[in-house]
Amino acid sequence: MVVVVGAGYAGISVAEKLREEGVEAKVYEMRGKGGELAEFARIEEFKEYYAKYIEKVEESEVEVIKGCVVSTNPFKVISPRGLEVGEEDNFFICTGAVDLTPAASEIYGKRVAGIYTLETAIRLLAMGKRIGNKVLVIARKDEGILKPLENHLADRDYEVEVLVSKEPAEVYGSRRVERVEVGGESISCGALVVYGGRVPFNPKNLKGKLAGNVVECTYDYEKVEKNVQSIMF
Amino acid sequence: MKDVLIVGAGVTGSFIAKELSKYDLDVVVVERKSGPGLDQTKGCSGIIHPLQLPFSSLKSKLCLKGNAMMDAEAEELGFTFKRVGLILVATNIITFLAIPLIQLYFRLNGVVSKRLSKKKVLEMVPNVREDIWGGLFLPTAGVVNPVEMTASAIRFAKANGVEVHYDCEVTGIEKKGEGFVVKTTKGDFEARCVINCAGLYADDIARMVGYEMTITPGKGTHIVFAERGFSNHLTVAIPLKPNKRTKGGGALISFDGKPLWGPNLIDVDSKEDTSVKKEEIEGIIGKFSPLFKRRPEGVVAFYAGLRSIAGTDFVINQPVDGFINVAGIQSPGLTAAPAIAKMVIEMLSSRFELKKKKDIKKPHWIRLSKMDDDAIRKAIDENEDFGEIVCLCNMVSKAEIIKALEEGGCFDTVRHLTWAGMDCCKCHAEIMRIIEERAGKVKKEIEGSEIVW
Repeated sequence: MVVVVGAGYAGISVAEKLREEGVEAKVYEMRGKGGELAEFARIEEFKEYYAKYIEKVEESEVEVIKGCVVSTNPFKVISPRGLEVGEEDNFFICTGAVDLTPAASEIYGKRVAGIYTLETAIRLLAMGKRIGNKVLVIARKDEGILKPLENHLADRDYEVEVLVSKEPAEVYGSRRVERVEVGGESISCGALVVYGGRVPFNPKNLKGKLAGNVVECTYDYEKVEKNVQSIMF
Repeated sequence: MKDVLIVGAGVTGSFIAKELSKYDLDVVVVERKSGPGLDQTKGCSGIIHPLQLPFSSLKSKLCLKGNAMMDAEAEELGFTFKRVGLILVATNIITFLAIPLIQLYFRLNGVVSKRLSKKKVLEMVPNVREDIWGGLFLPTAGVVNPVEMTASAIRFAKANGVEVHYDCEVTGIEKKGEGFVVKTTKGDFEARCVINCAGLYADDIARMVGYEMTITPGKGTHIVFAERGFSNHLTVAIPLKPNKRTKGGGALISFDGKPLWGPNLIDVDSKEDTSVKKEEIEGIIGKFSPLFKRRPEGVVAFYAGLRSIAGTDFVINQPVDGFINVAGIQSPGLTAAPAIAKMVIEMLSSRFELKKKKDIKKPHWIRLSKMDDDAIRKAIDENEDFGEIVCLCNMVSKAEIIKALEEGGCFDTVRHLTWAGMDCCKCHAEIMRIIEERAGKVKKEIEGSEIVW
């Protein structure tokens, strides 16, 4: 039996490919099918931007088991049903990527409320939450996702400024973010969204063949797709 | 009227509350932040120090006593404590030749240590540079998560009848009869005794009863790296000339094994200045990298904490009958906390008839990641929230997040207490969602620090 850990774009693609080849795979996911694409699907502007990929996971008939694979050797899954312990030796790790922390993205200054990684901000927005009124987005590299993000925030009556810059930034504020100094400029804002890049999200107890956000971690799903293809074919 | 009111739920106030909760006394703790240990305590390095110089100081005596008590405290309160040991590394011939003298000096003052050959040092920390000379191992040094340690003491105190009020700032103290009226943002409290554990603001509190003292903030910056196992021991180069004001920090490790470098000591003007400057981080990396062949991989966090400095030693006194200062608790305050608590009990013994309670409750924190398979099955069987993993990195369940909300209910408390989201941001939004669902709003650490709404 083959186990696929994660049912995001990579996990679903791997499971489909395995099925085409007549290999039965069990797909586990700790939240819902689709991984972060399911979050994107809740935000109109993102749904449009990622339409191709969202459709693929939504239309997939791959069955997903809700449960969190906490280790591969021994194979353990925790879910509200209980703890499953088994013996499996063929794993595809499709746990995706995670944003670099603000510190790793050269954000200095006060550690007050109102500093979010892009990933946390998107998850909160997908839940319909508010994170401030005036948002500064600092991205260390330019990626396509910034445009739908800006449009979404503007549509939700946020005042938004997107800055693509490599300059170190310093946060000022007493309890929440009040302003950010970057590249010699002081920008007043009530929230800072940081995108410093992504790294593989591979918890230490999961070992297997990596698929998805591996070669280059990104919000650009064209690259995610290429990574998956290169592993599968 | 309460018997004792403690100002501040930092590590000092919480340990005093914990110790007092074992006696037949009516005790209340007031804290300006939204949870325990979120000020100075959270900003410290989390090191249980093996010693403190000069040996003649009060802080040194309390450090040695507190260090010796720590295993029993961790066991009683259920917080994680690891004696990882400290390696003092001789990086040149002068410090190498000084090792026997240092060892003798330590031994005469009751501190055990073991001399290490160069080969042994490199075996213990393979990442240390090849051109070192040797070292000295202090096995009693350890690490804790300071917020977890503090919250565990508060949990014990609450289980044994202590009342704790968060978001409750003291605005004035008046003498009334044989006791005091303590005015706070959440109303007045009357108490026979007041214990001032207000950390950076202990001078403001002391002034309310007419005692003049000055607390100055001394900032310490840290950097946390991702690479667990880079070193499994605290690693510090022996300085050529010791600094009188600070032990000088080191290549430390955090409670969960991540490299933790720092702290420095920077005098700042404001008691709220916990800002991390680029040059401070560069300074720390520049100071500690020369000890190693390479730098640890991945940066997780920067943080700065403030030491509350009142001269060179702790200030523990009773300037007004019934009013006890436990102030100027800078490093090694975390280590000394259990011993400080015993000392304060001693001071109170002349005022109260201290009678131990018959039935002392020991609430224990449940950590899924530390359980065996049968215990996990049983936990999920009894509460299916244990079956919902929120943080995969540290295997933290929804049930633990909900349980942590009993200690104040803000984001920082939940993270430090459960260890969820301490490695990356993957689960932060989910933690916030659970907090909001249960507590109505999500604060970082204090009123006015809302994260999401």
